[in-house]
Amino acid sequence: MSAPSPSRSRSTALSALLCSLAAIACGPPDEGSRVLNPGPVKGPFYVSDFFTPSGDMGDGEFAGNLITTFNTACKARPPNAGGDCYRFDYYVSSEKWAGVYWVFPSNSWGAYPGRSIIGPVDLGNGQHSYNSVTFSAAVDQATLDANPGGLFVNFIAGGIDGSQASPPQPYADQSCTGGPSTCVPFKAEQGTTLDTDWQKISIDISNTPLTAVIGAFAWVSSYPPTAVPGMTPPQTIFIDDIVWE
Amino acid sequence: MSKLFVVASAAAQVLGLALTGVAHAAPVEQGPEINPYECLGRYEAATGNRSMAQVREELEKRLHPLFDKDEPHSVRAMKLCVVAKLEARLGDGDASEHFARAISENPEEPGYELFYGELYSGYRGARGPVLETAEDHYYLALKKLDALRAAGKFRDYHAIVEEWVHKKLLVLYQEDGLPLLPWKAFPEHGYAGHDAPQVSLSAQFAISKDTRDFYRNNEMRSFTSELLFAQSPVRNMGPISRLLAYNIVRNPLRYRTDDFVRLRQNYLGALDFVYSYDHMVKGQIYGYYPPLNPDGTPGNWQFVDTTVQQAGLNYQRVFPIYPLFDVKLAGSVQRVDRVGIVEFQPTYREKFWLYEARPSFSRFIGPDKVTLDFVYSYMGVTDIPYGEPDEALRGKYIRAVNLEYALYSPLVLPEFRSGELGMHRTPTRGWYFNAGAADDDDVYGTRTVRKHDFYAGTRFEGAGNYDFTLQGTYATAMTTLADQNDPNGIERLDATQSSSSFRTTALIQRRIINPDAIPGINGSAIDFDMMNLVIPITWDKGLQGPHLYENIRVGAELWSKFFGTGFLGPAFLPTVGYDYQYFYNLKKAVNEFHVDLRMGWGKL
Repeated sequence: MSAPSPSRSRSTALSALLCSLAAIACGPPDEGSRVLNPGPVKGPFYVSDFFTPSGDMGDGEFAGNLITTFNTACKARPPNAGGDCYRFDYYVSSEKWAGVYWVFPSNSWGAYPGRSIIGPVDLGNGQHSYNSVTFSAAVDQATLDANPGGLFVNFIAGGIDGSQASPPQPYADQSCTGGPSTCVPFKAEQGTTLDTDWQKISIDISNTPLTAVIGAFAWVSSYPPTAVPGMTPPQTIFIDDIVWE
Repeated sequence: MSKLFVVASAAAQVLGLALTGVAHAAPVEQGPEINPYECLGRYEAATGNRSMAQVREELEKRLHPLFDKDEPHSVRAMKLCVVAKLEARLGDGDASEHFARAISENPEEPGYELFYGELYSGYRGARGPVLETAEDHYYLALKKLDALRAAGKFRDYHAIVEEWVHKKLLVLYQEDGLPLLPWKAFPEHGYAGHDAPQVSLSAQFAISKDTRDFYRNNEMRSFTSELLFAQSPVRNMGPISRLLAYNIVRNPLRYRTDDFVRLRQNYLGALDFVYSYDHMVKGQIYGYYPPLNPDGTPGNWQFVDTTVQQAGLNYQRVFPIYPLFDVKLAGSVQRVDRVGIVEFQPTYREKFWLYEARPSFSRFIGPDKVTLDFVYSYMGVTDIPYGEPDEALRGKYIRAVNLEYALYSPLVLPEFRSGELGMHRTPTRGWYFNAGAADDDDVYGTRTVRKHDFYAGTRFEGAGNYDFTLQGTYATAMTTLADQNDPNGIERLDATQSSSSFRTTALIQRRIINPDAIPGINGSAIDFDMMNLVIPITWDKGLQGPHLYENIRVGAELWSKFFGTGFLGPAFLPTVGYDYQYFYNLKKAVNEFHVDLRMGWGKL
């Protein structure tokens, strides 16, 4: 599984002194050297190693409605979990729905090409695919109490389409079998009702030739139209161990 | 050569040596008591209304011969002092040697120690006096004054010497703040202050409502960069509304305190324990996505507070290493704790180390002085703990170099005298020319936001009451990034984020209270040293990128300085200013003010 190297070289007090004497040297390291794993991502990978949950949607676009916590305040992690764990606290507002996209590069809605990937499944003709996007998800007790049957959440892989952005952007998640004329939108979804126990969930993306992806993962949850902002308890959603494999 | 001649020559040499020996053996009289200000008077007579070449001639005349062989010691000392002062004016490295010889000829006279000390506190040094060396001589002067007093040889003019020594020490320690120990506190008593440590407290408070921050960052560049970022593909993906662009211009309330406890000792230099607190009220944009109101209509930016605290150690000392140069070594290691800086995370707290080094090198070239300054600053900003690892790295690098040429020669300038305009040789406080460059690079993962400044300027400090400054600064901003999909992570420029502008700065300064006109101490509890009325004018003109934030700014400021001579002698610097800034392409006017109160100071 591709993973970033654990350490980076950092300047110290001594190097600061030497740099001042060397006058104008010792600027930031060049950008290329800061890429931990340059080039296409090969084989299975943790989504959090290459994609950022920066695409807040719905009520999440407004400050204070959607609080994302990384690697702290998580639910006790599932066995052998990897990558980052997340906690989302969603306070309903006027939109009555919210969600988050994990995208590459961060904050892109199709402005830039997606991350190049080479899946572990060889489809022939130089094409590769992944089998699934798997992850674990759950809600907290208060959310379950407010939603006695469990909280329904929709999970997505792919689905970014720059042409739908305002103004339109040039790139989209798509699957191509040949030239540009063979490309079709790439989007796979899996809706699940969550309770307080971890559920291992899988989104099937098999037999889908992919060379790049912008939106590797997303979740969307909603409130009933009758929900009153400020009066309705928040939804707390835990997500962990998101893997393309 | 004949053998006889060789013998005669040898005999003559022996005889000559013997005669010389006899002559040297004859005791030279100590001579009359001479007021050391005789040295100052002769120096002024030799330099008044003269070109540097003529001053050089005066020096040569006095060097050859330095003095007659039978002149008494006190006369020799005075003549050596004149030579040393002329050499100091001409930038000659021999000045210190001749001051030392003057003192050795008349070791009881404290006035020569005063003048020797002035060499290191007024002439030599790099971005500050050679404080410890000047201190050596000022305290020796105090010691000798005490000895003269004890011996009943304290003359009226020694009271003036003593007052000047106290004033010079007061100025020497003016940055230190309030003395907490007695030995170096005003008025310094005797030689004990030389070796004794000083612990002093400096406190500075600044409050402003200004588009410019306390670091004097270029606000046109800052606003333009914010606009471009908001319009970039990773935010709005297109132009933002004019109202949002208008509201990027803001002058939040800011306040800041800088405090340090300084440990100063002659052998050590100055070691500071520093603390600063900087707060901005509703001045940082929460997120650069164009905000929407809850009903979906376009909203205004959401502004959040920022707080930056720093604590750590500073060290500085000037080392005289002539004949090469004087060098100032200054450095800092501080822990930074800040909140509110990270987009979308107004409560996210960052803690990291700041390392800074600021060496300066200075030397005389004839009567003029060249100074070369460097700044290197590195902030090991905390990596963000979320998002893909490639985007987590944070850091800030500031690198700057400045070259200054100070012209101290008297200039032939047009001047009205007796109702007529004519060209006259006019002494000045210096005509300074400087040029430099500064890089300020912020690392955001695989992106680098690069800001460059290139500037050149001049400052004319007249002998009278007016100073003038004119500077041009070419300022750029750009973003470079790596293509993570490329196996080699090639670097490219993000063309959507580039801008440049040109700033013209003019400063007119009128001395209301001239420090040069108040050489001594007035004897009251508050000793006013300086007051200046300053008119700053800046004009920012866009070159590349949006010109929306072009502006002109005019202000009036009052700078003043006084010493608390009635309470241990700390220096106070109150400053108050008002500016009017007009962003003419936006038709937006901003009123700005700032008030600064300082007791001692670090960097200004």
